Amino acid sequence: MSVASHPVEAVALTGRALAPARGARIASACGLVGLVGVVLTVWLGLWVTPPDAYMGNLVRLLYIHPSMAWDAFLAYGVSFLASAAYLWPRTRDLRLDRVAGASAEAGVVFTGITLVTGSLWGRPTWGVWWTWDPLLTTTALLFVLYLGYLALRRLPGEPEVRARRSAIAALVAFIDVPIVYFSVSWWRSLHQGPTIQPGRSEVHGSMAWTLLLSFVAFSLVYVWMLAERYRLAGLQARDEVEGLADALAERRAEAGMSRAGEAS
Amino acid sequence: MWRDALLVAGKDLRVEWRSRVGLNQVVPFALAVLLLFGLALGPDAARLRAATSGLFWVTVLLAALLGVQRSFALESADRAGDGLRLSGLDAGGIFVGKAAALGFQLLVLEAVLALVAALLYGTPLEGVGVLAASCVLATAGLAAVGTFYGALAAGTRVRETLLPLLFFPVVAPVLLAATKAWSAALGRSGGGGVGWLALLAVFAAAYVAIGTVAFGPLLEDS
Amino acid sequence: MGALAVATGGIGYVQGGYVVALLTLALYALSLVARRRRLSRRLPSAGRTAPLSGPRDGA
Repeated sequence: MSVASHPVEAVALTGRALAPARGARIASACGLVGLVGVVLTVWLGLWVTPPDAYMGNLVRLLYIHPSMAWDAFLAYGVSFLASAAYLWPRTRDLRLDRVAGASAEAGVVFTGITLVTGSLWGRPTWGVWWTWDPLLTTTALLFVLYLGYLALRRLPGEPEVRARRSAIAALVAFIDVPIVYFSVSWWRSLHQGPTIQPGRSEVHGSMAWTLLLSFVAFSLVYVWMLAERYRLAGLQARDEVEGLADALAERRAEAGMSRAGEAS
Repeated sequence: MWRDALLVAGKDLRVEWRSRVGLNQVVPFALAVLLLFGLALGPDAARLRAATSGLFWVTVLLAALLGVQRSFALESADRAGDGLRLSGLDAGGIFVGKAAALGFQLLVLEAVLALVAALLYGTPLEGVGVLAASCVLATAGLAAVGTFYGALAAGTRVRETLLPLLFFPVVAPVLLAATKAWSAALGRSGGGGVGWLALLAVFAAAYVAIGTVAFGPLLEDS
Repeated sequence: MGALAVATGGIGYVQGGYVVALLTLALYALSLVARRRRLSRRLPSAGRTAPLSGPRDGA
């Protein structure tokens, strides 16, 4: 096992090569465009687009809720792929572990927002804050499942050990998702049938454009969040390895230079 | 691998037989939970009867958590786990063995609980075949997931709090399917019993397979 | 049933949803930036990567 050399090597890379100026620039470009997109979405969604014939003003929640849900599933998908790639011996790399963790965290944030906005939509529409719809129930379980995953990641320990443990846990958690969805939808179908169709109204014109824009904008925000969290994870890994003492010594040595670079 | 599994299962069951922790602590705990549910839902016989299958399975889930913790407390005491790792036994075999021992204890517990629940909640046990089959399949799933997460959490300092957080959301489909299978057998809901059994079987098969494959790397770590 | 709620209080739910979503995202983004800044100050050589400007606040 290359326990001794591998994490250090990867960590040494993190500082410069792994967060190169170009990657950071792309990420911040995504962030900026995403921010503008979000502002536009809010403006279009709350002021410009007309209220829907059936849903009235509630249709405006359509410009944030589905895109959040999409981001959440995208994030979990990325996390799953990164975990699987980490477990594959040829592509084993601590960077993938960091991507998995960063993406899962973003996923949890988006899932939380999805649940809250969905609930806010459900209350005036169906008269209840919550209903045992398969999609809702699966989403809620996903939320808890990945909170557990994040808790597991937060445990201290050898980076390699933690990475493998987390990757295995991520796979196991992910496999559960279709089973949960299937069982819950079957449970509902056996009982009775007022299944809910949020997309009942026709979406067209400025509404369709705003919806599309919301997907693009929030996806870009996700990319930025992923990149930022990934860089943070790299720094945290370095911090763990080098320890405070080293960092302080280095800082004293380089104080003038890095300060000047950072201030800009 | 199967021989190793038998060895490990035999070891765990012997330890249980000598220490009787499960018998003296987990079974009374589960009975207490059944009583508490009775208190919470009130003396209304109809309501208790309608809720029997759900209450039974939630109790089993709670007891399974204790079983898993016990199963890995065995290994962490006196560093027995290191011995297990050094023994050269096949990792998949260790997984299957520990899961089998846990599953066997859970089945015994379920038999006791089912009788007590039937008495306490006034529910006649009908469709014993489906009841037993769902117990076996659900227990296989619970034991596999439990053993897996038990090993995952075992090496950590926060295992008591981490394990339930990891364990319960994953076994949610087991709770759902087993409860529905029981309700169907007890005549509380129309049909679907066999389908739920199939779902339990799929769940158990998936997690036994994953656990057998993934247990090696996990064991190296903890 | 739905129509009545929409006619009267619907917009409140909408605004609530927007506020919750954007506020959560903004707070999360800010915390990421703040944590990264703090760490890169402590680990000087990493601080040389360009300071990010991103969605500081979700409007």
